[in-house]
Amino acid sequence: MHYIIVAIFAGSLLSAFGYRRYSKAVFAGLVLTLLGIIGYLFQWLPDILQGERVVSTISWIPSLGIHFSFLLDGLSLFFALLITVFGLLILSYSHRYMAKSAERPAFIGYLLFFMGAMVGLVLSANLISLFLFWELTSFSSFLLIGFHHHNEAARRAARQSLLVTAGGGLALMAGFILLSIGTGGGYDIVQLLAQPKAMIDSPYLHAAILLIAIGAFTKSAQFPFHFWLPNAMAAPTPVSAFLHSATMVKAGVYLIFRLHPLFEGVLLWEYLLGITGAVTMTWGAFKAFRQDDIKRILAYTTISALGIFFMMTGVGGQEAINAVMVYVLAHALYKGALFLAAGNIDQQTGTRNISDLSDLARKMPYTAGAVILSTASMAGVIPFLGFVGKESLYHALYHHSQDMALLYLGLLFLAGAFFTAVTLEIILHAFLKKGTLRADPIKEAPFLMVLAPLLLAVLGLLTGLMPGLTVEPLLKWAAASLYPADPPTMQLKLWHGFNLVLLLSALTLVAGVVLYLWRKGIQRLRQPYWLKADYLYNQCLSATESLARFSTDTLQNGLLRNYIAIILLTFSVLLVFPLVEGRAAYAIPSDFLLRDLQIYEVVVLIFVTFAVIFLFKTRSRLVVTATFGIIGYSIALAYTVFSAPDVAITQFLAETLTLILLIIILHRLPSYTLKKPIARIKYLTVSLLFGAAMAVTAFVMLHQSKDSDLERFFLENSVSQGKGQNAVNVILVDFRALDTLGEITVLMITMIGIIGLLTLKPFSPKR
Amino acid sequence: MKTLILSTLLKVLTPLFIGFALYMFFRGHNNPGGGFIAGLIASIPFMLHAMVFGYEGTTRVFKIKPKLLASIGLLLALVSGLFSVFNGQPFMSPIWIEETVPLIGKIGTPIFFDLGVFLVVFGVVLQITFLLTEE
Repeated sequence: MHYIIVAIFAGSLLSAFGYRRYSKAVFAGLVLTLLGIIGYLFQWLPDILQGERVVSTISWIPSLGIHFSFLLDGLSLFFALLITVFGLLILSYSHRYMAKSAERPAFIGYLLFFMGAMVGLVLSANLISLFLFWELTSFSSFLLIGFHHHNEAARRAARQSLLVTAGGGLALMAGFILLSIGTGGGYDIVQLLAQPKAMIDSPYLHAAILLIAIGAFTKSAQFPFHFWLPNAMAAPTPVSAFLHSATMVKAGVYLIFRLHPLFEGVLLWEYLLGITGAVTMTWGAFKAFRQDDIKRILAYTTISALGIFFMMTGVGGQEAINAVMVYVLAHALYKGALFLAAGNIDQQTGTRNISDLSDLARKMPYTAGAVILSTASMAGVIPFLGFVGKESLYHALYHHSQDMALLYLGLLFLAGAFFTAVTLEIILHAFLKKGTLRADPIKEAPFLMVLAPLLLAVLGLLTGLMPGLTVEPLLKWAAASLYPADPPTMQLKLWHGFNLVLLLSALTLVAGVVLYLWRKGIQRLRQPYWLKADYLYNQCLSATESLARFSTDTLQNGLLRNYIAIILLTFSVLLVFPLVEGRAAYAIPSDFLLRDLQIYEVVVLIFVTFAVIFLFKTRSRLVVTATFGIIGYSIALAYTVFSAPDVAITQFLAETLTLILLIIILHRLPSYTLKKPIARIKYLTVSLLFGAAMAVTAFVMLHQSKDSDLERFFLENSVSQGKGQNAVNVILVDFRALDTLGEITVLMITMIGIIGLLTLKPFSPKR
Repeated sequence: MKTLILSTLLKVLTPLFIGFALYMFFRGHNNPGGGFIAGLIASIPFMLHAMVFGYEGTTRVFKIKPKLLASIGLLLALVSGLFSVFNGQPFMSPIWIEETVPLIGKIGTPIFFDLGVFLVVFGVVLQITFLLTEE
């Protein structure tokens, strides 16, 4: 199963480098690969439809329970098929759409890279590999949204989406870790799902839910993190169609579906998802109606639809999940078609604003057909799949026992009415109205660019006519994946007879017409600028920047001694807290000072004390250097006394080297500048605090870790496992070699920093 | 800083220090010593040399490129940990050759790691010295 992900990533690399020269061949190869992958996924369909699950695992970090393991069940197969089939259509569309662009190879490469990450995400059976792919989708969508990087708006949108989704990703990571701690079950999703009640009893339950929900909300553009999605419309149209209708924004939805069995029945989970989803749904639908740019309209309706998914998951229950699965598919079909059609319109007419468009039904008949079919599905007109989906949603909410269900139903009705109004506006104004574009020589888009949206729109019609035959089996098992204990219950029919739900559907359309007629009034409503999420995002960013500037100005003021004082002070404060907290554990023994004091220890003490006193008397840097040498060597002597030869040697050498280095640069240093008594007191305080903190820490550590397991482990195993008798060195180069590697890397970085500092020519303002 | 005593002494001290550094390096696994300490010791004669003869004088006599040495060291340390990965074990698991080599003892990836540490320490210290002695 992992080969399909490898294949997509390989295709991404190949197309990024080979597309320019062999575009036809590479394109054909990619199409064949994707067809092969789709075929491979379909080949599992009979097994999945028996309710089976396929798991394949590659070891990654076995000691931490982290693997590249993949799970194919109804849910992941449904999403994987959605992504690959859409990916194929979008690939063929972009092949044509980007035909004139010199950047096409990179574009196709990014697109496939994103697709590979997305397939990896939905197939992952390990939380960590899921997280990895999750971040890869954020990263690749950054590249895709910012594809027109010469455009300021695109750069800003890309940055924004990365900040929001990757920030949410951090929360998600923390949530996953809490989840694995809480269940004690590692990161394996299959194991987690096998014991769904394990998390309920954990003290981390609510924190985990909150963090995971934030991850899903940011990714799936839920209120109040929705603002990045409309801005991301700066991306090329195929990207919008792929990322923002079918796949990336559904990653969050997939995640909450996947984890729903773990959290079902927890009030926080139900209400958090339900209310956030309901707010997003209503707000998105309302905002969609106020836009003029077709892509922004579609973006807001997408936000609204995502809200529906979250709301229904929050409501819970198998019937609600059944309904939402149908709507996920319906939404992907109509929204993908609409985005691609919007791309056609944009490319052929040069504008996407509805107020500038007219007459398109005559000029671009096939695109118009796709738009009419898919908007009808969006509005929920019989007999499209959107109608089936909306009916199921209404039905599930109407019969649900949760106390919020009727409120949700009302809001869903409102959102549906807005969808209808948006549909009317698009069709009547852009396609049927006779207007300014009548005389323009606008042609229909090329074949491949018409094919993809038309195909999706017709699929929405066909599956709506025969939902039971076409999509029910897969959707049934996708929904059943959330309720592994119960048998699947989905039964899709176009016509349920005359009942209250049908009446609601009809009323939705009527209300939509009413809203459409009232559009002037709605579009006149003004939202105060300080309530716009985008404005608040900007405020957050500039606040962060001013904080950074403030801290840089105060902390890094150019005085080296100030830097050191701050570091020492921070360190001491951090040390003091745990020391004070655990003070009961280390009462000072009364005979502590008098025990076994040897003569050479006294000698070392006297050396150091006199050196320190002398240090305060002198004003010459040479004397200070020499005195420091005395202190350093005395400490090295102390190490020898306390039988730590390795440390002692290192200390002697480091002391020697420091002395040599100091002497080399001594004549270049300025004379003593610290003359004011107040400054001396300031630094003296910091030094005393630091010294005291270190002394107490050393004392506590000596009295605490008498029976440390580590000490025994290293001493016992250094010969047998590390093949050396010097345990210190074995620790350095074997047991804790990773730490050493980190340290020598830091050493290198320091060297690079010093090179930078010393070879830097002072900047002269006059050139 | 021309001092006759130090410059004469350096002719004797340099090989002595390097020999001692190598000795410290190889005994490190069983007795006090090791790559870090050996790196520091090995850099001392060159530091003194740079102190006496200056950057130009030292680089004319010893064709050392400390930056390069340090980079090679870091790479070596990293690569020594990668051997086990290709062997199917976690990163940085030690691999030992069974036979013992006279004078050196057992050979395994930790020795290369330690050599990497040696080179990094040696290179970094010398680089800093050279920068400071450069006029």
